[in-house]
Amino acid sequence: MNPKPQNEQKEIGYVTKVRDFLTRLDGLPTVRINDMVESDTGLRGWISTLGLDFADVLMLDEGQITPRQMFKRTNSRLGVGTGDFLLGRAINPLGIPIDGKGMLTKTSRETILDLEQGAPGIESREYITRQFLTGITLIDTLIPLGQGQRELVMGDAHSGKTQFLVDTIVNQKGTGVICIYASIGKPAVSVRGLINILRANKALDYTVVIATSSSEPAPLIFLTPKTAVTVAEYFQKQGRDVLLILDDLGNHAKIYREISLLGNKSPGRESYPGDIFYQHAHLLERAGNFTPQAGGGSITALPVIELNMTDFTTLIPTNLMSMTDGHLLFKSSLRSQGQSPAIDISLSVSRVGRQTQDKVSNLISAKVRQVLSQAADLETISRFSSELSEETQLTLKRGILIMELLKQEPLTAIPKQIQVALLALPFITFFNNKNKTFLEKYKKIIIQAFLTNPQLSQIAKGSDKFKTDDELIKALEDTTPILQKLCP
Amino acid sequence: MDDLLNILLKDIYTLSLLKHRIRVLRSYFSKIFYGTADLILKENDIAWINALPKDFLEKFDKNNITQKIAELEQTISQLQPLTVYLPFEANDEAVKSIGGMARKLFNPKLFLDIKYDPKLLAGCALSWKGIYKDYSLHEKITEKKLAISLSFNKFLR
Amino acid sequence: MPILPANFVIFIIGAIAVITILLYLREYFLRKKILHEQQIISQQTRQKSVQLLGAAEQAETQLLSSNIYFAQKLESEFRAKLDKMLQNSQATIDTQTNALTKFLSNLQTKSVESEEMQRKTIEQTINQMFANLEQRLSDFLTSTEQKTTQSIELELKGARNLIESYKAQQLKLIDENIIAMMEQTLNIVLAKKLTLKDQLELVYEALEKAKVDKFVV
Repeated sequence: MNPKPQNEQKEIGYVTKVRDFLTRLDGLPTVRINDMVESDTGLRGWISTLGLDFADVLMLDEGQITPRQMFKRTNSRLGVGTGDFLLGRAINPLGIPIDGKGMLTKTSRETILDLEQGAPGIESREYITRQFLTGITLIDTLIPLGQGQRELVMGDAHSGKTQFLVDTIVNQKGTGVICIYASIGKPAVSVRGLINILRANKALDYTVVIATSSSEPAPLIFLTPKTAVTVAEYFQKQGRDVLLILDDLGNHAKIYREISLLGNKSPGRESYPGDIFYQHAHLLERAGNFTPQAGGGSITALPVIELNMTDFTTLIPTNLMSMTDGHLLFKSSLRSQGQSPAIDISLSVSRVGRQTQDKVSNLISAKVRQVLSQAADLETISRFSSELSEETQLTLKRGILIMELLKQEPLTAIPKQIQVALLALPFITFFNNKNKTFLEKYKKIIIQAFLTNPQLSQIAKGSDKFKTDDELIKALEDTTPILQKLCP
Repeated sequence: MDDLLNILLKDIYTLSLLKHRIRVLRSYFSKIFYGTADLILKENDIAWINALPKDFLEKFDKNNITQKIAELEQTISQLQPLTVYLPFEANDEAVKSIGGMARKLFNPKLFLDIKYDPKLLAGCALSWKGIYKDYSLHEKITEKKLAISLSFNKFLR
Repeated sequence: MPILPANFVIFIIGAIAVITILLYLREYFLRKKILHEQQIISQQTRQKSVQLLGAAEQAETQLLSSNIYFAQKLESEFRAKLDKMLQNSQATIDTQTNALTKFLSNLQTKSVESEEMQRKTIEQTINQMFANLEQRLSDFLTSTEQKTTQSIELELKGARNLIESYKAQQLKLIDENIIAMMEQTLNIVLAKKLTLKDQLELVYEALEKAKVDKFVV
């Protein structure tokens, strides 16, 4: 035990103003932003604003604060302890476990990382070439994601966003991808339900859940995405691929608005403070695909925002759309029509995914998109005119078949090669006179056949070796007798 | 301003008392000029007012009272008090003697802010301009923790 | 129906009547003859039977007399045989009684001897048993004594260990908290003992130290 230095000096400050969770202190002469301070009753906070002769502290613990109460400066900054022991656990933004499974680790081999770190520059990043597979046909073929991409997930309430995210996490089993789910200000019940689903599907072993419930102090909720990104960076620096889900940043923006308005910052558009863009951008910029010198690995970020009546023209969604590499628009109307996942293909985009797909998949997906947009245009005509040309009918039929093929039950995964082959099926002559009920009946059988039947599985496995999509379609034409046998 | 302050400062050593005096002053003057007062003056307050020199009181009149008081408050808010943590509840006399000593040693215009902290067993702790230094017995004991516990071991067999 | 002449009818009826009477007379004379014959036969039978009876009586008396003669002969033979047998059996009985008495006396001596022997062996066995018992008891007692002393020692050691560990634990606890305990004691003591003057002096000292440290400008 080292003897303490003679008469150690501590920096302290006294409370001059208190308002909810914002405390103004004087004193603290050499303190910096994001330093942690603690009151004599053990309430912690961090310095958020520095003025000429005052410092504003956002309190992390709830408790009574009296005027002239003393706050002393601790030697720690805003940070979280990270390590491999976090896998399978649920923690709050300060690193304290909330899942009731006891202490995080018996040994103290934890790396304490600052929550606030600058995003790596251009020299640390690598071109995104690997595809991030979600196991859902619609995404992996038509709106492909890359490892290290940021893709915004937006949609109404109850449009199936969370189900899609859970499916993505569960489908990462066995791929070595670490999943980090940040639940920002959601009810504690929904966090509990999510953890139960993950555990039931054995997905909890490679997932870290960082959650704050809506009843916790606003500064704590505000820190949640920062902690999530910091933990993601820890795993990325070990060379692993990380999936980061921030659910949802709309809540985060509201909380930040609350904090700023309390701190008397001038409100801007929609009463959000002027630096709301920075708050989200500097988090999302820490995601990406990194060079081996920067640790290798990648962080694929899926921020989530809940829209109001599918209106994505408000401030926060437009902000997020401009700082991400694409977006997925979920519509509750599509969901009630039975489409799952309920993504509007024409309004969703992935700016990075194309470069990760092989040529055939690209061509097939372009073809499919073309058919779908044509079918959407022709659909309105078809309601009015009674006689339609052959071509129109074929396009409409193909559109319906494709949409039926793209439907996927929750918690199912379809391997990549089969997806491409599946989507090429509506273009073969066998399906020219088949309708939706036919596929409803035989879809599972066809998928099973692609896994087991030698000829079909060969085509599926070798799908990336074809030069054009027409070759794939021709190869599938030859399998017509097999299909006829399977689907009488 | 300075001499105003000096007169006000006489015989008091704590910021809270100074603020109290200003309140008394304002209340007294508002009673004289406007006929209302927000503070019912106590005996010693009245005694103090009466003891103030005449020319001091004449400096205040109807027009400049608010301005002068605002200036006073502004000056006071910029004063840095020396916060003293005492392990005992200090009465007025003790405050006076401590204040006098402090002013003698450091700055004749120095102000104190007395706080009570029983954890310091004896002596005191000082805090000046946001830096806190503990000169108490508690601090000494914490420093010499190891030596003390070793010396206790002597009592064991 | 043609009316038959009445004379014919009377003639027929008269013929039938004459035939009937002739038949009846014949029957009657036949029956008488049969009766007569029957009588003669019965007489003859009676005579024969008397003859037979007489012959039978004669044969019976002859047989009876021969039987009586044989019976008498048999009786005398039997009597002779019986007497001879009685004599024989008497002789055997005598010899056998003698043998029996001799055997009994032998038996008596033998039993007396064996009784003696048995008594001796019993005495021996009893003595041996006692000796065994003594030995065993003493062994058992010594072993029990050892075991009890061992277990007692073990218990004592365990208890001693417990006490030691408790002592060590308490000491550790005290060590950790000694400072805090001391401070609390000091708190109580100093609050009572230090006068205001002393406290103030200490405060002055602290202020002077601050001056030296240039803590307050």
